[in-house]
Amino acid sequence: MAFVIEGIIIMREKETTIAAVSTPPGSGGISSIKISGADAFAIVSKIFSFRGKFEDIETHRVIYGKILNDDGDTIDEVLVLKMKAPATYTKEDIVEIQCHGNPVIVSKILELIFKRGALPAAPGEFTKRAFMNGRIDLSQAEAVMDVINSATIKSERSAIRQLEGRTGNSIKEIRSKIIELLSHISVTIDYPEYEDEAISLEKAMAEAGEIKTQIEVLVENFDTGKILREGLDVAVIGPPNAGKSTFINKVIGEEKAIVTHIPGTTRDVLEIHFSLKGFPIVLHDTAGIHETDDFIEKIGIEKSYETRDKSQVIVMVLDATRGLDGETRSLIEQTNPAKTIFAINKTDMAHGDDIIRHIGSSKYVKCSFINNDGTDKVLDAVHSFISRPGIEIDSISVTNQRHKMHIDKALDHISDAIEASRSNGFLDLLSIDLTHAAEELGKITGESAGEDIIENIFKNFCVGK
Amino acid sequence: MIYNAGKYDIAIIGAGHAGCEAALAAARLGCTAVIFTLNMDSVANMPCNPSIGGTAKGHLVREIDALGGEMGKAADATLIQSRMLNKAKGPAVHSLRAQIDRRAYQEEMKQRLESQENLDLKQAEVTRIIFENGEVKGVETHTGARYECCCAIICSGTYLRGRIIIGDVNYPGGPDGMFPANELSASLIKEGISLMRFKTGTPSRVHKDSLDYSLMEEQKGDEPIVPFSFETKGIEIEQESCFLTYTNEETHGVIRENLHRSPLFSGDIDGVGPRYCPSIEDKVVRFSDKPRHQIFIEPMGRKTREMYVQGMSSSLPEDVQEKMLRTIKGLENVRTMRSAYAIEYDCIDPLQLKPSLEFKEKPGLFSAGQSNGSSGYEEAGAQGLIAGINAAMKIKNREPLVLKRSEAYTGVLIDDLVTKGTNEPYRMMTSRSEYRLLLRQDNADIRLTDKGHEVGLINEERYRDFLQKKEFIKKELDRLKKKVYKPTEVNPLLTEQGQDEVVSGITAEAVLKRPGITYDMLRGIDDDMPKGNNSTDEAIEVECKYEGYLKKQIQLVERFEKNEGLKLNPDLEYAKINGLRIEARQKLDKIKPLSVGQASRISGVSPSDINVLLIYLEQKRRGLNE
Repeated sequence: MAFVIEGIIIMREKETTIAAVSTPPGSGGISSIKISGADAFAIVSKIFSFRGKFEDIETHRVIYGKILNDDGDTIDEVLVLKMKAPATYTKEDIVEIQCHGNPVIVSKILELIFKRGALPAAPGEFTKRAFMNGRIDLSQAEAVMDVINSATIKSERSAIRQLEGRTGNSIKEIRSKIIELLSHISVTIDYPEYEDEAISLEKAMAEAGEIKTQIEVLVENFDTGKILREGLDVAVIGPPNAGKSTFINKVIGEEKAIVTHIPGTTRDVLEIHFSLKGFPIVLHDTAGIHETDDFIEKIGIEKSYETRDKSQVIVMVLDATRGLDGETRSLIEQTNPAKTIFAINKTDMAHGDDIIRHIGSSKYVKCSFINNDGTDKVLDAVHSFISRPGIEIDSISVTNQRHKMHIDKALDHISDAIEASRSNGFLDLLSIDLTHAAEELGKITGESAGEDIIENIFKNFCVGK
Repeated sequence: MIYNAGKYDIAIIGAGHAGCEAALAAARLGCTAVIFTLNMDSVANMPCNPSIGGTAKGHLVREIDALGGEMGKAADATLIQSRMLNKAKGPAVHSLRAQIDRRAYQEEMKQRLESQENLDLKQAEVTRIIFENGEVKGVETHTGARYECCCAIICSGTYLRGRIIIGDVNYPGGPDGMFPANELSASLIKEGISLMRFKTGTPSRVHKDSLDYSLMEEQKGDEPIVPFSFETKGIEIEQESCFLTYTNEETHGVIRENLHRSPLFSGDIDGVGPRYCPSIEDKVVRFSDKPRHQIFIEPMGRKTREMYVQGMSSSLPEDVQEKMLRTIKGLENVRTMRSAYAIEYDCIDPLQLKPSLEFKEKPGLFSAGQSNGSSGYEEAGAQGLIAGINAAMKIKNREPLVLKRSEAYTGVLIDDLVTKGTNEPYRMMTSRSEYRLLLRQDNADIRLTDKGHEVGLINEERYRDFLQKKEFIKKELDRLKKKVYKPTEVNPLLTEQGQDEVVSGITAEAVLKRPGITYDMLRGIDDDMPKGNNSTDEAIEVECKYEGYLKKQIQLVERFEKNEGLKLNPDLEYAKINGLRIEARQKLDKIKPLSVGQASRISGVSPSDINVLLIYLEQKRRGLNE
């Protein structure tokens, strides 16, 4: 069906089926996943087990059952709401799955849905569909456009944050290896007379094989849940000897944390990954902040500030026995109180009232880490941040799953590439699937392959008259 | 004194590869046309390498031919060596490349212009384009002749305010010792057209007898010769050879010692040069770890002793050029006939053009070729043909011919230029196409002959042949699916090719899909096989062997075409669509895309902007309905 208005033709066609977490951030114990589109029922019927047949469920009914994975294991007990078009938000078939609000569970369920053929909903896409299908009236068009852009900005922010992590780096690294290989193949094809610069099929296949192995490692990390490391970033900062290390050691001891040493210029920095009531946390250990002329120490302190600014939550450990001295005062004043939890340590030895007065209305916890007092309270305070507006728990798990989907597809393409060139023996066919693999990873990093390949050709190869 | 010199439908400014195609197409489509050249002896000149084709470029020549253009035929008539490149690298990248007798090519093309009905060829410099109410009304020459016309096509190549640079010497000039065209630029600027300054270069020509070929590697042509044109039946000629040699550390030493005398490094050249066409000094500086660079010696023609030295493009002073050439194996006693030079020239910013190659803001004015910021004879020819066709379509009140990215490299070329623009001379490359398995040189006729026929450049006889060929291929592909070979028939062939034998019957299609098996091999075991020719054989083999890949690419195309089908009004006021980000608004306003697909390829327009745009369109649509 096509309409022609003012030279604008709008084609209507069958849209894809999309899915996303629809619970607003911070809604607590329950998460809701929404799937909209022609295949919504078919997709859910494949992963949802209950007494009865999915197609027999009446529209707008809630059914209790289980979500099962490929091996038939239960992922979660859920409530499923089936809604038949057109009496739905998007005027398409919709299924809503209500599951436990644990990001790991939400991720697993989303992964299954994407595997069955749904695509991750773009920011604002449900609303866009609601509008396009006539569910939202014309007067709200402007508002709909605003929703799309503000949702996009939020999700971009979350995606960017994720890409700063190690997974992001390895995705970028793998992608640029593919681009390098592709440009080498392109030079070989586009400048056949320049044999000095050519790559042989065998060499290209070997390189593709190496890339494939790297992607496999990435996939494995996702599957074992390690990827959820990139959860909420919490910086632990404070002056030297205030008790940061004690706090961190307590967390490591109590929370089955994974500790990673990241080599630095001044000293190794610790990253502590653990799950706080199902939500992934990354604690960042930092160097003690104080006045110094030591060049090396200064670099470490710079790094502490950087970590503080990049993190979504700050735990500032202060020493009650020091009182409100100049350093403590300036530390408090320089820090954004809206995202800071002040942990007043050593309160078994001093009251720390002057510090508390200076903090004012912000969140503080009195502790004595050495006496096992306060660690839980600080962590509770961190958890309370999770449910505050502004921190997108759900968007993190969605981004994770979206990334996983693209990585899976990239792996498929690269396997196809190797397989095809093995059976056909053509460099060109290798490069076609490689290009698709680069594009999938590019969807994560926000880069497109075409111009990058050409850029790389002229940077790395010496061809032309 | 200005005088009235006549009236034509279409005036073509410049008779290079773009201009010739444009003029022939316009005249053949029934328009009266005049084509201007600065010098009657420089029509269809090849001021750089004496060759046509190569990867992606050979594809363009085939496309030109399928649409009814001339380049392929003229090349077939004048080539002196031909090779099919990339044969071992995959069917989509087989590329035809020919060495051309440059003078013979010029004569051939000039003759075709001269004998074309409705077309006048004139030697004159066009200095001004005349507009009335923003529309083209005519052109004026340096001698005061004023020609009335409805459309004008700028095909000015590298002539606009051309400047030649050889080391520390530089002077106004066009390519190959021609005069530059110094006045037209000002007329364009006055009309609000924005120009860019680009740079390119060409290596020296040396005397054939001064080289020692025993020290070089000979590169012979292929036999039999595969023609460019689908109309050329066969080419039987004595082929000339090319020769391969290398630079060495001594060459690089000479260059390094004299770098300070290169205008590229001293900053005397401000034009933007192409990355894919680096000068030898550029190569030596940027790839300093490379012990040698390849140099190809190519013949300029049969009746000349001039040889082209590919790989030695340079803007170093003449004395340094001579010194560095003499360090190369086989060139020790070289006698240079023409020195290498760099040339700077004005071209238009192609973002001002519609996909039809007409200026958005200047109805009737078209531009094609190097004046659009491209590079290469083939790129120019393809654009010239499209501009010529579309000027004629405009005169005839018909829809312009716009090729999709999924249909032709020509479509990719023009879409890239008018949507993304370019900041260096744009060269066609296979990696620029998303669907290159579909855009092969062997199927250019299958892809485009229908369009050429519809436009009116393909005559009935050729069209009939084409339809027959298409039918033949289709029938044979169907037959291969059904034809079953007995194990006794096929096993010897399979064994010979290192393939597993079969125990029961197998279809011809399944056999052909096996690695290493060619369509030609089946001939020995298949009595029902119809007699085709090289071109049908190739098409059948590719379509059968790569069916799975082709299907995958077709699916991609279908997804892509969804947004191409969503047309945008060029008068849309993006500034008023609040949901768009500011950068997107500005870019869309500047480029005025004709479809949502085109909009999505503009750098700075994000997927969420496209969603906003879709909502806006829906809002408009409903607003009008309600």
